[in-house]
This record gives sequence, structure tokens and C-alpha cells, in this order.
Amino acid sequence: MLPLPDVLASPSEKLKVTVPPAIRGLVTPNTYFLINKIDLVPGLSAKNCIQIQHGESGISCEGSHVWLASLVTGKGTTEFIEGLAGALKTQ
Amino acid sequence: MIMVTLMVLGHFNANNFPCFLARTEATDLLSEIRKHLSDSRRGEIVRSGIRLAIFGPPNAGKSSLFNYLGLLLCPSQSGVNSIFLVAKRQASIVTPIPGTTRDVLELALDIGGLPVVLADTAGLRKTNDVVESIGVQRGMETWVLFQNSSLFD
Repeated sequence: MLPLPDVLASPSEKLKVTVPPAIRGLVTPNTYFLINKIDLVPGLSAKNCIQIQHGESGISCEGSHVWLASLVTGKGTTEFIEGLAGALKTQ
Repeated sequence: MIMVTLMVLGHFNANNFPCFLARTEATDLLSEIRKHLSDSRRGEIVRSGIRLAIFGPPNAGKSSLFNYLGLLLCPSQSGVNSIFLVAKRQASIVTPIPGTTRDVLELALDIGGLPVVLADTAGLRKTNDVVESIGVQRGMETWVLFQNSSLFD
């Protein structure tokens, strides 16, 4: 779980977040990302595409386990829970 | 040998041989049990739940997510180990102060019909606070434990 305002590397068209060094070693192909606090970055929707950068490799949101949400406003939480349930069933 | 002979002769009716039926049923049952035992740990998952650990930096909202899921999703009643908290309440303390969560909290949930054991962990960072560093260590241990017992190994 990452807080968007703290990890946002590129607020351009293609959003990119950087995984903090303390977390990097724990990221595996089975890691699901929930990017929280999207309400603190204006103009963002839960459907935005986002790229996770950790080390030299990156993970695109397309077809992978990355969700954008705000636990304060509830934006994106339904998509996250549905996506998580689907991902668990698939695995 | 007698049965084979009778079958060949066309006079065999299994209903007249309760022992034969019992043996057939036992064989089917044994085959079913063997299938469940070699099902890539699905049985284990049904018993103990899929293990998910929430980890991330401090103040990412991990405990908020933990509480949110605990309040929203029906706790699993399907025999998931009862040592886990079963909550419809705020289980984790949430404050804006980084490093609030110290201990690992676990919660039994039902996500999309699947039993899930969800763990809330301390935010991962280097810290000089003795208690918080124990929390970080415990979070790391939980990650290792969950990784080793994961469905996704």
C-alpha cells in the first residue's frame, strides 16, 4: 500500500509512482498495489493508468494488480475490492 | 473370479452384492480423498484462509484499509482459525502520527466467497524508536511467514 502524494514521481499523462527503498525488497510478482489518498492529487480518477517503478523494472497498471483509491472519500474502493476478489479467485 | 465369470455370463447384478457396492463406494471415496490431498493446497486454504499482509511505508493508510475491510466485509464463519479477530469494528488504531501501528493484527474476512486472513503491519521505515522498530521487525516476519505459506508460492 502506497500513499500517492508521497510516491508520485510523474504527475504527467502517464502517472508514475516510485516504490520507497524500504519496501522495494518486498515486492514480488504476487504483490498487489493499492495506491491510496488519490483525493489529495487533484484531477485524478480511480480509472487512471499508473505505472509502478521499483528498481529498474516497472509494472504497468494494465492487466496487473494495481488499484487507485481513497479510503477517505471511498473513491475507487469498490473497484479495488472487486478486483482483489477477482485476482484471488484467479490465483 | 466368481464375479468376473458371472459378468461374462450376463447374470451379474451389482445390487445383489452389497459388499461389492460398499467396496466400489469406498474406492471412489478414497480416490476423492487422494484428489483433495493433492490439490495444490486448496484444502489448506479452505481450512486456514488465504493469507494477505498489508505492508507499506508509514501513514499510507494500511490500518485504515484494515479497518475498512473489517467493517465492510462479512467475517468468515467457515471455520477459519478462531485465534484471529473476527470484527465488525475498528480493530486497528488510526492516527495521523506515523508509526502508530506496532503489533501485527489479524482479521478473518470473506472476500468474494474466499476465506482470507488479513494482517495489518507497522509502516516499514528505519527508526530509532525501540518499540516501533520491534513493530517493523514483526511486520517483516509476517511478510516472510505469509510469503512462505502463500497460495502463490
